[in-house]
Amino acid sequence: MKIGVVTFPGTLDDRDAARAVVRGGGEAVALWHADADLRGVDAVVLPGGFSYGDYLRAGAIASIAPVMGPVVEAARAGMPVLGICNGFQVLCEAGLLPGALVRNDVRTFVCRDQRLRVEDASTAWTSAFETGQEIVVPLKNGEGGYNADERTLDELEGEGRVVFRYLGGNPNGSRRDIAGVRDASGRVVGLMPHPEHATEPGYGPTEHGGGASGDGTDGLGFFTSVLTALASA
Amino acid sequence: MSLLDTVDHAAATPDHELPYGELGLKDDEFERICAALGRRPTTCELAMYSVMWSEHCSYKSSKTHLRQFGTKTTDEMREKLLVGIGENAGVVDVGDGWAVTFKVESHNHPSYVEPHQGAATGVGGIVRDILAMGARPVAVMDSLRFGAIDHPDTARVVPGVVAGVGGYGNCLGLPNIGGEVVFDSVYQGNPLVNALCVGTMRHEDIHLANATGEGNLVVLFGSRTGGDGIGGVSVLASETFDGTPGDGGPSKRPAVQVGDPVRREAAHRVLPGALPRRRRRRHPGPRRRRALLRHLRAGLRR
Repeated sequence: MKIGVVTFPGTLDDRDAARAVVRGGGEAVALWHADADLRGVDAVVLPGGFSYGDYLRAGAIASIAPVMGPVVEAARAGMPVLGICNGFQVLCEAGLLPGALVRNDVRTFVCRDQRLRVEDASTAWTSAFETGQEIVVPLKNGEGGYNADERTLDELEGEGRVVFRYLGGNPNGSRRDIAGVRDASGRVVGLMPHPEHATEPGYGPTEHGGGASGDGTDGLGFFTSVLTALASA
Repeated sequence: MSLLDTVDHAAATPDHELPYGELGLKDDEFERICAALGRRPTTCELAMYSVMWSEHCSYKSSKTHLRQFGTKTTDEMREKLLVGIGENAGVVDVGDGWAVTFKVESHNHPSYVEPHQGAATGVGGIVRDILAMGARPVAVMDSLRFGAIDHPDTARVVPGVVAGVGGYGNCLGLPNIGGEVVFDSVYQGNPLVNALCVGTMRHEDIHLANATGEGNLVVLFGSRTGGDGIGGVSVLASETFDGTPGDGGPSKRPAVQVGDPVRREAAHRVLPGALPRRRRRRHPGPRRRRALLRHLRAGLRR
């Protein structure tokens, strides 16, 4: 299975995302922001970073980059898409996910190991987990506060589209402790924390009680889940 | 005066007033330039001298101290030393064909004048040096000295410096892995902002900032130039600030360059493919050309 990893100018975590794809058992395909097609990939990861320097607004310019045309089209047709951190911001700016990410309420950049609860293990990117499972992955952002109007938040909650919630303290002022959401189909998922940094034993968070895996690989499930989703599609 | 201040024109108009003082050159330095050329410099030559003879480029006041890095190097140190003093950054062998390169540099005056951009471009400068060695930057650190912690001007300088160092590194995906800070009134009006960058590379990827022979292609690339940073190298680094912080603060903010980390991140991706993958032998190289190229780069945007 080919998983595309998009690099925009200013993207930083594409190398780790590609590595995570491979560790999950997929084939990583590098996609460039100026590409006009998706090179035959079966799913797409939009990694973290500061695409286009976060100029204008985080993710705003990337959301209209040439490669995003086919990404949006494919996502609407059911292709699994995962947006991590800046990639989440891009998905919100592109209208594939509701809401917006605003500056952290603490006003500073936050970098820490973050405990999360998996609220929805039915998505294309979370089927390897169990609903209610707790995982720990790195979090690092300056504009990670998830925000939407009350009606949208109620809708997300009502439809079970909150995929991850922050535990052990809300790091950035996200409404209702929301760390990640999905689209109606469950194929498009966005979250601020970084599962791709926690896919290799010895490199992910193991302190503070660690996560579910115990060896810092709590994020690996994202990249195995998508292969399961693609195999059953 | 004709449109171009040519060499002939300069020779014919010895009494033409030049703004060397504004460019950071002292009277005696200007006299030495005139003596060396046998005439007054053209405006273009003056601008180049002001950059090359600035503290930033020539280390004219600190080179006696910096030289110790060369003279105090022992044979034991040389065993692991792949590149020593005189290059953009030192390189140390760490085994298995891997090498680590370090560079620490101050950006004191710009950070005092415009804390956020001054500190940010300080990080940009050392990252450039690590890239120039052929390495992949992996982390930054900072060592900071500020004035008294309860002085109002310290409150002006500190938040910008911290945000500038952190923000620039974040935009490049470079974690700040450590640092230290001291507050003392001796640093009032002259904070010390030192940033360090670490990079890793294979031995065969080491690149040195020199070239020999004629017909070489020189490629300058970077961000667009703008109204900021003009004279930053010559004016800021050589200037002392008898400053009157508090009554409006320093007035040379436009001389500080505005950082553009997303362009630097693009350079990260361009350089490894652009540099020829072969090891160059060290040559002493013409110092002037090397310094000129290096500081032409420094004069470009960070």
